[in-house]
Amino acid sequence: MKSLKKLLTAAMALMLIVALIPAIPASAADIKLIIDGIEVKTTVPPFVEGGTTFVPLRAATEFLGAEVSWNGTSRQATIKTAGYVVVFTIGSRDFTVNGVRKTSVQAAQLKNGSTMIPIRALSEAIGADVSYSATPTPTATIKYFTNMKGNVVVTGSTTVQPIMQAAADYLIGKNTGLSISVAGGGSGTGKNDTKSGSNNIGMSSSAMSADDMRELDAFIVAKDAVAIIVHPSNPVKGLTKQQAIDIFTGKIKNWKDVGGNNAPILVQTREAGSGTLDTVQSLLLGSGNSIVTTATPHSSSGLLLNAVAGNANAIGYDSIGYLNNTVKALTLDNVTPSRATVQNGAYAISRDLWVFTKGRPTGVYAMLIDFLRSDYCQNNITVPAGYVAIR
Amino acid sequence: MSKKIKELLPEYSVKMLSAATIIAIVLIFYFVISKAMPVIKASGFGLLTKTGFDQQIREGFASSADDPMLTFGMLAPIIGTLLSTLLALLAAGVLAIGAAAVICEMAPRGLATVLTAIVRLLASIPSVVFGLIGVIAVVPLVEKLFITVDMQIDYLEFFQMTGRNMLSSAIVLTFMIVPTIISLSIDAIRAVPNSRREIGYAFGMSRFRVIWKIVLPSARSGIVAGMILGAGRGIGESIAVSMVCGGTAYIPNILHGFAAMLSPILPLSSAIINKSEAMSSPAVESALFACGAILLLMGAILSALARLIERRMRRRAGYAD
Repeated sequence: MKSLKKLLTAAMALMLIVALIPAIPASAADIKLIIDGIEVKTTVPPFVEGGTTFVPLRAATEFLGAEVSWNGTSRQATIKTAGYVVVFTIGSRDFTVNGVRKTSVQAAQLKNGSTMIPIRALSEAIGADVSYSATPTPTATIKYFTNMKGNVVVTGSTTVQPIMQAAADYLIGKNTGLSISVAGGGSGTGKNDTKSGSNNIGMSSSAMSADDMRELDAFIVAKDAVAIIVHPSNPVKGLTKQQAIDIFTGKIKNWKDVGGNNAPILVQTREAGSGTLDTVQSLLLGSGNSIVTTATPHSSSGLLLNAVAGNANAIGYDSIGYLNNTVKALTLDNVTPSRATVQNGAYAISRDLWVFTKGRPTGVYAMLIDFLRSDYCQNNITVPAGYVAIR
Repeated sequence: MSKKIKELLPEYSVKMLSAATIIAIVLIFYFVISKAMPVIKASGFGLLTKTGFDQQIREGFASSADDPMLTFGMLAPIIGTLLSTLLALLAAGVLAIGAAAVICEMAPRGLATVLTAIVRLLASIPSVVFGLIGVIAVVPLVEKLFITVDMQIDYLEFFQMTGRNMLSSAIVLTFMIVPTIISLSIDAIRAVPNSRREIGYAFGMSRFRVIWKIVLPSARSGIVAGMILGAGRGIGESIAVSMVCGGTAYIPNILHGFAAMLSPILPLSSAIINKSEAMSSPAVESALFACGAILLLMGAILSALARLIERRMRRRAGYAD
């Protein structure tokens, strides 16, 4: 009994010591920046000056899906989100939000090459929920994607739908009082619904016409690209666009006609209903052409990939996000399909995926679009779903 | 009073359960046919006699909901179903009757028990496993044994010659329906009275001749019933076949000789599986239900045929109805 007491005392002493440890390294200089529950590391950490908390503008807003640009001559930093254009000028307390002048408690300043702004200004500028707390550790907290409320109705392209659905599932899990209903219907339906007001946000995988752009505020949320794939042992390295069309429509039937072995070209395709087939149809074949009738259809991306990986003479296609080293992607008109060539527009079988609202988006709609464009969504939802990131 | 209820309750509940079964079957027919009606109406008799199924599915999917493309021709899937099942039935019939004769008449009792257990096990393997074995073993084997690059080049204008074809489908189906036929054949052979065998032996017949001339003919009705059940399974089998059939609605051309065996097919049940991705379009949905309706019809014809054959055999064997 006595020894048990001793043991207990010793254990409690140990616990006390352990509890003291994390308090020691937290010096006044290191203020943590937590955005939507995730700690964001920045080259210049937030600091407190004259009772005001300053946060690095670029690191904080890019995390929220904003585009930040810097003008060296006018010393102005401009951030663009889906709903707002905000301009801060170094050394000035004034800033503009969508052209409207506002005044902050302290001026924006440069520190080690980073524009620092008072954290309250961020709240007025884009509607984020901000706070600062000195205990237990000094922390600047920004809530944006965890500060969403309301009902959102989204309709349109089935190509964009998987990204939107995954984003909606994520955001609904992070917010209370938020409902997002996502339905397909196709790009045309999405545009018409948004113009007529039957949805809040529309989705499209087809290009936005000048007419569309007059009525709608549109944002690119991802890029969709399809690579033409063959077996790794196939000596053919690339095709011209015309050769690719002729192969998939059945005009060219032998690999020797495009510089390969004397072997049959076994075209692999997807069953009707596949978004990837739709992309190939509209961006490679064009209307009026259809895939050769002898082509073997597959009901999933994975099965098609397996079929090409397992047959030396097969040719097929797949979203570039799904490719792996069991197949070889062909160049098209000497352009290698890759993230870089898709982003700069050099690769032909790729297209932008759009979301749009009628007029400038506000509130929860703007936040949803910002989320789709944020690094978190691009890296954790868009790319794993097989699409190419926007930046 | 209470005694009466005790007696009546089981009787009525059994009657009600049988009625529920009948109602369920009627509802299934009604539901499938009503869903298939738009396509049946638009296609008419051409549904059974016209080709171009793959292309029609694509057009049906692309057509708008206001003006759907409802004309389908399912000759290729129907022929694919019939040919693959027929081939499998021929192979499985020979294998199964031989195996059943060995198990019942020739093998020592211990071996027969083991073999029967193996057959029962084979019957309980899920069909997707047969499909996997088909993809991993049968498809590469067929490709290695029968297909050359030159043949592929020659036939490419008609079809893609790969390991996924009618022969592979028939082989996989054979293994799937063999256990059914063996089990029913065993029961039929065991039911042949010993006195008949003894008559044969009394005439100095060898064991083989007794099996061939007396046992198998006597067990014929049971064996045929097993084969019809096997055919039913073959026609309805979807997953395993869809993995090895090639997935293109092509009609094997007899003029191609043996190469016709190596052409891809798309049986009705596999069509329902493979094309279901496009089912969000009402036209395709109706077309796939039409496939289902044709399958139901084939099943109904087969089971009627089974009854008919059984009756004729019984009459010929001298049993009163």
